[in-house]
Amino acid sequence: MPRRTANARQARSTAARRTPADRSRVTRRKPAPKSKPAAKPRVVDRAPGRPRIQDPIAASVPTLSPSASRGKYVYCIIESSEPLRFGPIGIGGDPSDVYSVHYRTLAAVVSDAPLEMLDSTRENVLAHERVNETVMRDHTVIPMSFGTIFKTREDIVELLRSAAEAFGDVLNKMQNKLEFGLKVLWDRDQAIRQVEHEDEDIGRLKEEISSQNGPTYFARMQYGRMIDTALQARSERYVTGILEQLREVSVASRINKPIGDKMIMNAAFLISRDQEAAFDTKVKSIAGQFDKLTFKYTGPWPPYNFVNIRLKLERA
Amino acid sequence: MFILDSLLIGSLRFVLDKVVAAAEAEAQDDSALRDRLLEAQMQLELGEISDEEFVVIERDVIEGIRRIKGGNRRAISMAPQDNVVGVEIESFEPGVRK
Repeated sequence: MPRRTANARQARSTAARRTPADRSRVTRRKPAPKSKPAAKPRVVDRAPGRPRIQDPIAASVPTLSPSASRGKYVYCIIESSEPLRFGPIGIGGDPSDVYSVHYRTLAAVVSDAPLEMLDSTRENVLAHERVNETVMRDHTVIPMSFGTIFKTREDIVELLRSAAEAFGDVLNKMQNKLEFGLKVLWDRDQAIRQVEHEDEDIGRLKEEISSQNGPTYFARMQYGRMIDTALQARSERYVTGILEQLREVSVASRINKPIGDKMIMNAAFLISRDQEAAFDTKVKSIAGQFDKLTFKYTGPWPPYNFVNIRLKLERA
Repeated sequence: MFILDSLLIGSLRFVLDKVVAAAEAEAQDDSALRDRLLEAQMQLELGEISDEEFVVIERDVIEGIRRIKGGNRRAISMAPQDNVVGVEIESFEPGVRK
């Protein structure tokens, strides 16, 4: 789990899970899911002619006094026809109750929140994540991105209704799948020294520059370009090698833009629950093969990187 | 920080009418600020900056994002007048996605 700090409320609830920052080169920063039993069989009643029609409004659960300026913050979509409550763990300064809003067998996990925009502070983002983590223990989730607020419960029911089939399909696809993150960083200076050492042309050019008396501008330019190219090739080689090894233990992977200049790989992997141990072992074995690289391994997460929901709006 | 970058890029996205989207993207581009925030998270994780330093950066970045997005982000409504013409859900394809 990423390092959590900030306010007292958060510190209390997460202290037990906090790991000292990066003591080991490869740590999974989030505990494995609380020994989840194989997911309960899910009954999706989609038999034609026998729709389980519920009044979508009446079907949603709790009677919370709605205030005019309150919206509904949505964390994720799950499959459930039963009303659910997850306790007062919602986002915002004064944690509100997290509960479900239903349409047939689909449910959105929500809490009441102010209609205004929520800042993506670490505290808020972690609150969002904490709810999804809780829901994930017993459900397959389609996570919403941070900051998704609907005006009313009816709007959420309409979202579920209008894409019910697609939500159902994706939930089936994501069943028993987990996301893990793997970031790989290197020490750039060390990598430069290595390429200088290993690449004869670069090594020679460096010597020329340092022994030259006159202007070295062009030689330095050329040196810089060669270093960049060599580093690029080297990092690509690392990344390809790592991905290759993880391919057989993952369902899918996604490569995101690296963050900062030390990162050479920023990837997310979708893993079958029954492959989790194999994936874990593989990551650790890879970390052992590359002793010059730092691995940041996190998860399990809901499949943020593998589901994308688009609302298509048409402007009048 | 993995969850932050995942949350910021993942899931629910709004695809506006193309022309509108292009015009708005220019005026509302907060991606540089988001990148800055992600980088600060990473630096914090690597122990390159302290909690206090992070908090200062976070405050500045959030303020910047507010300035850009503040007036434009609204709660979502599915009412007919809001012209939601469809919901698309895209899920993983086996293999590598870049």
